[in-house]
Amino acid sequence: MLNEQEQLRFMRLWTAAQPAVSGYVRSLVRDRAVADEVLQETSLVLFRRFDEYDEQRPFVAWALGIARFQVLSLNRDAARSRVAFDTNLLARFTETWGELAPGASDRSLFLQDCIQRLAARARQMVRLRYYEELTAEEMARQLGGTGAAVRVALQRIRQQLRECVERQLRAEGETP
Amino acid sequence: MTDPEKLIAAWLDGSLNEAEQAELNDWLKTDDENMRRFTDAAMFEQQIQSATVAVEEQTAAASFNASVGGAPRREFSRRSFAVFAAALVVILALVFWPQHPADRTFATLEQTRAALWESGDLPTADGSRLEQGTLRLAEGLATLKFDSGAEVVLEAPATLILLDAMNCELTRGTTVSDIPESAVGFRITTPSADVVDYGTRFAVSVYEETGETHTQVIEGRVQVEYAQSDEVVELTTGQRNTVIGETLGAATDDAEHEHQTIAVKPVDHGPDWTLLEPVKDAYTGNVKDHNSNVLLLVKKDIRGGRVNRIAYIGFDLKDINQQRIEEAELLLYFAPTGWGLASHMPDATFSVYGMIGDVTDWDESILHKDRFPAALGTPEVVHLGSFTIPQGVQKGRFHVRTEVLSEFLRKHPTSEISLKVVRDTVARDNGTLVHGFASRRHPVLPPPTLAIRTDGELR
Repeated sequence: MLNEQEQLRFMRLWTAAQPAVSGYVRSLVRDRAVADEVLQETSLVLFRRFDEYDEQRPFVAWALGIARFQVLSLNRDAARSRVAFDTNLLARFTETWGELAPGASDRSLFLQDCIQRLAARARQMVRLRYYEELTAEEMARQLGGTGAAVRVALQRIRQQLRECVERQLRAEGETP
Repeated sequence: MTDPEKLIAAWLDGSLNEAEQAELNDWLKTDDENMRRFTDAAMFEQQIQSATVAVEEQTAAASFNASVGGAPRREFSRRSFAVFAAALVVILALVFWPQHPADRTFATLEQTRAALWESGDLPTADGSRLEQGTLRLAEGLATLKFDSGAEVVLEAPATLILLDAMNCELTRGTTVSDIPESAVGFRITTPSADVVDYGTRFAVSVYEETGETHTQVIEGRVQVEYAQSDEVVELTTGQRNTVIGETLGAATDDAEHEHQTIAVKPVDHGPDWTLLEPVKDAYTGNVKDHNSNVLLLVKKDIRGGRVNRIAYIGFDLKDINQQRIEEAELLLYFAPTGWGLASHMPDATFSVYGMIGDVTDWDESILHKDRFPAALGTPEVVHLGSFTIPQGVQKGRFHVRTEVLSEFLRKHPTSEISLKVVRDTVARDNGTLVHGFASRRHPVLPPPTLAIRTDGELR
């Protein structure tokens, strides 16, 4: 059992790493409830194995490695997992996620603002897709048009958001 | 080549078909930069999702406050709160977790079929997570999934020692393994060889008595490393080899032969023998939740009474010319019951009795009754023979083959005969082992069998 100080240290590290790990798991496990279970299971395993954590490595990389095994152990069909690529690619994906996560966290700060600036229809699509969690086909039924058209529009919105966020990041970099 | 952006977008939508997935995989494999681009897109997607949830909930809270005329204040988002609360619960649970060993598991017992386990040090329920330890499968099949991705089906009777996600040791029985790319190098150690896998499906059998190792590759490539030297034999699809004692057999291609999983011992009954199955069988003695419908339990307890289990077996000899019986043998197939401690049980002697008099009119409704129903009278019995099961053994075929048994069958006034099987040995103390042998309802084991040889024609 970890002593009190180690528990506090774990909590700090896990709190900091959780957004990256949770995004990682959700990107691979489509079903929200299953993803949450995987995340919870991951946190439990991390805690129990905290004595094995090598401080030379970033905590988030270690946590992602454990999350990867939790994702792998899912029954693919039941979880509607998106892990269609082989385990080798998954390992590289995990590693890359760990490398990119620290640098990407700033984007979250600006994304809310960028979403609110979207045109009304784009804003509505974002809400349906990411809040209501509808599929492209379900969205097409509500909005009219085809699923393919919705996908194209969503792709355009992603691009727009990305440009908006990057603009703001640059602006921040320039302000003293 | 499809535009990678399109492939990534389709992946995010979950609308990739198989061909596109393969194309995406190839594109990802060609360059680390591609992988970064893909990972970044997946990450950005999750960030959009979180941000959208936050924005929508702020909006909802603001409009709610506006509608009730309250002062707009910063609302803790409903969903964020739920997530926060869940995380808090986890963390509290973690902090107050009772003294708990670190998770050392690396495999899952995925599924079992008609499985009976002998005592081991690992859990045997479907879905159990497994750590280092030994699995002893007496009957049936068990599928193990290692975290490395390796899938191993264990075929009884088998003993498998789990070492880690890439290594195990097979000391008897058969495994059929399916090894994906992630588990290339998966190693099965046997007493005579190491079988190392290079992405394939293959079977390994170990004969307990001799330690010889039989390997057959169903698909792919494995290496068989001889335990006693550096010699290696490589097998590819369809090939097999055998390691026996001093010899590392060459790879052979005879796909004709079926994979032999146990050294088959001929049953020593010739063509002039008739094998009879029981028309009824049951046991008496009853302990709540310690009963079986497929095994006939046998136990003699120091306390006596209903904790004693006695088995009864009925045969009908109507197709046998009883007067001409020359030899007879009763065969019983024992299997572990899971109850009691084998270590408390010394070598156990069992006796088979023939029931005589007018008490043979019992039926299977006596099963699980506290004792043989008094309404059926106190059966008079004649001792027909005994056998011994050594300490620690809970399974195998045991038999009684005596002249008294033949005589009993020859002289029995009717064709319906009843046998009673009891354990003579009382264990030293409570918690003693319950023995059991297969009834005629057992799904895989043979039923109690009466083998009879007559000197002439069947009736």
